[in-house]
Amino acid sequence: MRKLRFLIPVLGKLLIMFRLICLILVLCVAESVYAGKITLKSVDRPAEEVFAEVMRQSGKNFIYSSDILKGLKVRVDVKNKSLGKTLRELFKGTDIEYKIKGDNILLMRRKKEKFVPKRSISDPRLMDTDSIKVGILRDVIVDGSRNKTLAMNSTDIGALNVSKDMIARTPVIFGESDVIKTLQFEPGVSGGVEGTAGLYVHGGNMDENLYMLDNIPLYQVNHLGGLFSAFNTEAIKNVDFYKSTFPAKFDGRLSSFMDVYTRDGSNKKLNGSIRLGLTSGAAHFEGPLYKDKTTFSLSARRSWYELLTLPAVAIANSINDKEDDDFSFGYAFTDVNAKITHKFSNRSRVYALFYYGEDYLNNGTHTPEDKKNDYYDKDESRLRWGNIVASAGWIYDFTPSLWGKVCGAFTRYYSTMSTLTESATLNDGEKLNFTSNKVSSHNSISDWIIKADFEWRSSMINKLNFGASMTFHNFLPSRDSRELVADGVTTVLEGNGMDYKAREFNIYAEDNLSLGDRLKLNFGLHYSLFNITGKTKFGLSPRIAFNYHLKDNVSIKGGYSRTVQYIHQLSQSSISLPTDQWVPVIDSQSPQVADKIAVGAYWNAGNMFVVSVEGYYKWMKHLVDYKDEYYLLPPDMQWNAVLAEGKGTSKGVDFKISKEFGKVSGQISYSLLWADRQFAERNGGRKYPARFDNRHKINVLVNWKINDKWELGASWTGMSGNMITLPTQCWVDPGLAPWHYNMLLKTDINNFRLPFYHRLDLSFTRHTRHGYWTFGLYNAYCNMNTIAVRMDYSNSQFISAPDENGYYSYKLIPVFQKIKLLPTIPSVSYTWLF
Amino acid sequence: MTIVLTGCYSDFEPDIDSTPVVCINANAKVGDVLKIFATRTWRWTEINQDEGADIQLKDGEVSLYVNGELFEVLHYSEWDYHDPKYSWVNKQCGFLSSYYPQPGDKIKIMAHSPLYGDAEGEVTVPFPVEINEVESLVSDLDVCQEGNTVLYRANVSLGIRFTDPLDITNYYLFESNLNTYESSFHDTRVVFDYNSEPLFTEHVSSLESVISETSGYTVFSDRMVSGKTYPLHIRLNEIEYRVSSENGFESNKSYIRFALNSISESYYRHVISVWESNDGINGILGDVGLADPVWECSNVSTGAGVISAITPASIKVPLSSFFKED
Repeated sequence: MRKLRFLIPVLGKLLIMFRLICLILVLCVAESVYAGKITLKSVDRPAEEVFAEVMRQSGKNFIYSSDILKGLKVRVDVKNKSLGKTLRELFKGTDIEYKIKGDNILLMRRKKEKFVPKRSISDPRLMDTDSIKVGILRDVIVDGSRNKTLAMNSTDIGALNVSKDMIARTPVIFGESDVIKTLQFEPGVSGGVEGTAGLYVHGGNMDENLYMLDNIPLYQVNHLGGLFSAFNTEAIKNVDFYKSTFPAKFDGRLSSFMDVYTRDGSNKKLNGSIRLGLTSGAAHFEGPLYKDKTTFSLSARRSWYELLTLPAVAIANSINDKEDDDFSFGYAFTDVNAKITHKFSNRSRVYALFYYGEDYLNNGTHTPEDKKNDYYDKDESRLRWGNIVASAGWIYDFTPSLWGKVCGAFTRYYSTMSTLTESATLNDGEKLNFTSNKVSSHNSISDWIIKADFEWRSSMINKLNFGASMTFHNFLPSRDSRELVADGVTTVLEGNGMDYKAREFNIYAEDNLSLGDRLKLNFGLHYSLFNITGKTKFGLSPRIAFNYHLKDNVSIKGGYSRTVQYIHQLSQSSISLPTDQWVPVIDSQSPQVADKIAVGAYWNAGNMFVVSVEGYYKWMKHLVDYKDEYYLLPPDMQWNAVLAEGKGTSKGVDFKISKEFGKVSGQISYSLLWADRQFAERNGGRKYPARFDNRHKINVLVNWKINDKWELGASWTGMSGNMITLPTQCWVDPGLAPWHYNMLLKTDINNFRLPFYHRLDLSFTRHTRHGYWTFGLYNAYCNMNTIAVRMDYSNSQFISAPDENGYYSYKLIPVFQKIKLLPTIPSVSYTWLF
Repeated sequence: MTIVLTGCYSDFEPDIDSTPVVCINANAKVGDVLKIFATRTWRWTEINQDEGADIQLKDGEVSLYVNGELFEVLHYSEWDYHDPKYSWVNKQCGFLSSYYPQPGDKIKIMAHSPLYGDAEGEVTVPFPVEINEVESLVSDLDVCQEGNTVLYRANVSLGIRFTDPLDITNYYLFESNLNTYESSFHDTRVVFDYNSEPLFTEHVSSLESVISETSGYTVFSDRMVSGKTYPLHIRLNEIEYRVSSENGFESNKSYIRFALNSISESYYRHVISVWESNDGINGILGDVGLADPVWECSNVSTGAGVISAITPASIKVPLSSFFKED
């Protein structure tokens, strides 16, 4: 009990919320007798909205052709009725008829037109029916209508639902489809360094995004320094992404929230896919385990760079000079997603999921056995870093209007590096003068989480979401040790290897209210506590948003969100490295806080296009970054000794036109952004622009389904270059260091904008009887973009004219040089569906 | 993948204004007269390395303060300089003072240029820390008679003990060199190996120990050994030491000088920053645009130059001591 004392001072404030929850639970019990029946009232509301409610209460999905519902508004008033009666009432007086097939409700016109299902709408929370779409309706294009609903009918600003198909259709480097690279095409989102799976939302940092796997945080989301994300597309069902206003359920990060829902598995038959690409292979299997009740989904992916590196190393070692040491090198990444779902009834379902992802790198040199003569030498490095997530939950419909989910989870990020150097003189196999120097470093974060989320639709016009969670964090920011063995004496030097335990408590409630046909309101509150080293920090995050329909197809929105972040990632670079550490706010540090105001206008043009304009202004405080000259402190110093606290702002406009149906679909977007930072102990206290303050950004994404066999995907990105720090002045080397270089005069951070960036990517998909080929062309017109500037000597003016004696002299002409990366990169992969 | 991940370079002139400022370099060494090098900075593309450019502050003025008092005002001059490593005499130019630094002195240097403005910085001369003793362990000893000489070959592991003063933070530069001037056998050789001493790599992280070059850097702070007596682990590899059969060890008085120099914080920070900039993970990534650049550390108000101090303390160890029988 003593451990929970930190909660006591705030219990009073939470009492009101607990009372509310108790009241809701009483209502649940009272209403549970009506379970399995539908209660619904609607007066001329859009059909999609009413379907969403029917889906929620019945657990069924609607599948229909989009033109059926064009402008359809329905009138219904049922109380405690069966699904059949409700549907009859719903479509009374329309030319629409329905069929209930398993978990799906198929809609079609009464005319004798042959029904060709093209699109479906689905609720990702309830949807365990992807399998059906795959199994029975493989050609169904999983829709984007949810995005239209998000844009037109919800109060969310900057929200997006990304389907697996959308991810797979986006052309990307090496043909490795990637949800984060798909999101990079959203306005207001920067991808960071060329080719990587970076996500910098509205000028924020990478660690300001909360990545979740089925609602459980995932800390390390990159493989191979960020070239690929940790999310295997084969395992994904769909993804929710929020970048401007945030549901009260989410807190803990300043910039965005991304929740990846993994596949549950088909309950009909075993099916899956195997994909072979240039850089990795992936397999996915799913199917029923027990009747219609239990399903599984298993996905695995592994890189195969060893196929290239192992022979190369073997050849190099075989032609190595006999006196030379052999060397070794190996790199691989792996990830596995597994999920089992069991359905007790239409109201009750449990699941368990597991994720494991790891990068492994080893390299070294050693004296091989056959070359050992009088000297033995070994130099070996091993690096291993990755994530583990395990989660289990129970989803239950208490009543047709109350839904709940309870889950427990464990998530861990770890990184371990070690270097071993050994040398000895050999005398008849005996090691003399043995010297060994071992350096090792570990860092990790482990969380145990319990959480509960509820959704209660008290009426057709009101929906309440509420829940709570408790997280037990264990941080190991850094544990470094050095061990020297020389002359039989072992010397051990250990840095600060202290781990920190923290408890984080979150509670939230959010109400969605429709006032008449035109106005929707969302207001919520998220309260959090973070207890570490005996001190408790708290955050109160209010959320408010509205959606007002000026016309049936035009709406405007506005909203305010506050977010509070207690943990952050220390990263010295723009790529993902195993040295990146997750650390908490401790001692007198305050949590990072961001306040954001956003407004938007949306136009559903002829049910074909959705046009949106969103503006935002965000101001942040207690931001964390490295101090000036932090690198002068030893690497094993406690992390907060090198950190500075500061503030920042970002503002901008995101404009987007999207067309999600038809043979040609896609989107065009433009974003305008300003983002800056200011820290007392960084850049001499002066304000500077954020690294990824890409002032203008244009994205064009097109998918053309040419015929049943061929599909073409094209994406073009053009944006203002990243900001970099470019010194221009040099000073005389004082000659103190052992080697001598040009000394560079310190300049303001991010003082130079790289040239305009642009790139076209293409992908061609050829469907075959058993699967499909994907041919990709990254940077199709080979515009090698500038990623950095270096100071070097010109190659073109290197040799001077010969002097009178015929001698050439070498003239070193100092120049600034643009470093340009990535030419056209072709790729091919084959995916076999079974 | 490596084949397709290629890049290229193209020359350009960035559209950034940059203004030269005054730079001051001065290393106050106990036992040597203080020389101050006040220059200006230059734009990277301004100076062709062969042709050079005049960056000296010939019309500048330097004021030297010692322990808060104005010691002298200096003007630009040229003087002869004899580098002990070489036999010839060089010309040096800058601002030559008449001041000989003493441990504990607080030195402040102010430079003024009518064209480039002002700069200033200061340093405190550190106190010496003596080497207590040198322990040695000889291995792989091989003695062979070659004509009228005896050649000794061996490897030696050393423990060079010193006691760090507890009261203040100390920074050190360890150096060693072989002196064969007093020998008639100039084939005497030693390979110094500093890789066994972890203090020399305390600034190196685990990842850097995989990808970075650390050799040559022998500065360290007393963070790990504050107030303690500690033996620096140095190895002398492949020693070859020849003496005449007739006069024995008296014929070859070659010795190794081990120097434990106390250095100022500005000296230490600058050297570490040079390593970080060129071999550290930040510098490596910064060079290709994947991280912010690492600056060479300066303690001058303009950010250009280093005003540092060094107080040597050394011990001579004759090579013969490794081979003499007690």
